[in-house]
Amino acid sequence: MSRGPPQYKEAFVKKYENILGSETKEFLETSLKRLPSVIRVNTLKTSVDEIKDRMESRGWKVSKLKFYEPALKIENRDMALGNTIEHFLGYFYVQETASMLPPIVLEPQEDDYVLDTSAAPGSKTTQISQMMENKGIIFANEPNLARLSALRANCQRMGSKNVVTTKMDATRMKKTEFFDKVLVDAPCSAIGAIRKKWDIILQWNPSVAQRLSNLQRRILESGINACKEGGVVVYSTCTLEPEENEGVVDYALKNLSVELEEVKIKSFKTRQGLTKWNSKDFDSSLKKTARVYPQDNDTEGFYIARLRKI
Amino acid sequence: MNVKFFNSKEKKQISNMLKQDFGIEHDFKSELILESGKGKLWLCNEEYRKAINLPYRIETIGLYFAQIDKNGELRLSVEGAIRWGKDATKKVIELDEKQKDYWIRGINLDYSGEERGYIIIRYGKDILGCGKAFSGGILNHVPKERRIRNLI
Repeated sequence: MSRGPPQYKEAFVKKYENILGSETKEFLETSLKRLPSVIRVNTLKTSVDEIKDRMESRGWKVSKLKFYEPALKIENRDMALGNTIEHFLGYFYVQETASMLPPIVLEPQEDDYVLDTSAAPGSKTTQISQMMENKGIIFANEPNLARLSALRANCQRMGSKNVVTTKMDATRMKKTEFFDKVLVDAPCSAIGAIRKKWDIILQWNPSVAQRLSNLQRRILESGINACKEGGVVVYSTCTLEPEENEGVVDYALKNLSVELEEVKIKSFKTRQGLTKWNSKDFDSSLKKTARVYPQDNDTEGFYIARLRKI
Repeated sequence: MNVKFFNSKEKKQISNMLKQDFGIEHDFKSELILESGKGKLWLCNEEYRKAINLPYRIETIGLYFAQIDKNGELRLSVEGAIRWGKDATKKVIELDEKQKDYWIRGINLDYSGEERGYIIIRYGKDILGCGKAFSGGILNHVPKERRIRNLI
């Protein structure tokens, strides 16, 4: 017998009523629905049409997603995507739709030097590698050994020759001011990922976000220190907690040499970042950041900010 | 990570081995070859040189593409084979569907052909890796973490 979803906590519901008002019910209901199966075709090795044809030849329904060409939605499948020969060959990566957004916002170029501060298991690193046509260099960092192994295996399977893996505490990286682009996809409370793991509802409590925000500030600061002047830092999380998102970016705006640029993603609905939370006013430019709600595009929830180092 | 950077003469030797063993022509222009422990060879972009002195704890650099074995022969990794296998003009063995299913599960194959030593494994348009042919069989070199265990 399958277990149903746990009950949302009262304080959680109240918090999201303060953010979303009358849309809270839709947000909470969508957060309990299964996510669609989505893959990112590895265009370093094959083409989108080739993979679409191969999946369709199994009788599966395959549709392209408008916001990003390599993204395919797979329906009516009768086996796990990880058990296909195409997965073995590194022709695709099973990647949630919203998690493809931070690399798109980062806009890596072929000759860039990129740092990914919190890279495991490697979905975004290998996407950046693909966007750079396997050129330039990406430093992909992960402090945890088991997660680092997964990162290495995925970079290998996807054929990325432009990835250097490192094992460091992301809060203590030296101030190198070397990289053109930095992705800080910070560890978070993962409220946007409830659709993937219902237990996140049980793990939530009002103090978690505040505690995590201290770690996130330190990782973001470390990422900014590694970025060269004029470079771009993208900060993202898969949570919707203001303390872990706008609160962290607001700290960076007030204490570090960065300014915000507007997050624009074509054919994908995003909403402006909050400029006020719990009677605290954030920098007004935070409306340039993007909130991705599960109910808007049938995805996980996400938050993305694009900062320019000045 | 302790690595040795190959100079142009050593890179040329790897090019020659690819050509001699498999008929593959690749000159590693704008690419670095690095050797780590146990003769493992890694491929990375030339741009890495500019980042070489960053004070970071490096675990891996680029793509593991081959290993020089104890006999001095070049054994391609799955990715090395996928990367250049389509250009191979010799020592390529074509599998049938049943053999392909065994291969991606990491199982050694029966073999009665004449090839010996390292060979490239192909199924249709796909290159599946590199194995070692001997009298009666092909040793499967697909690493454990990459094998598909629950193939339906």
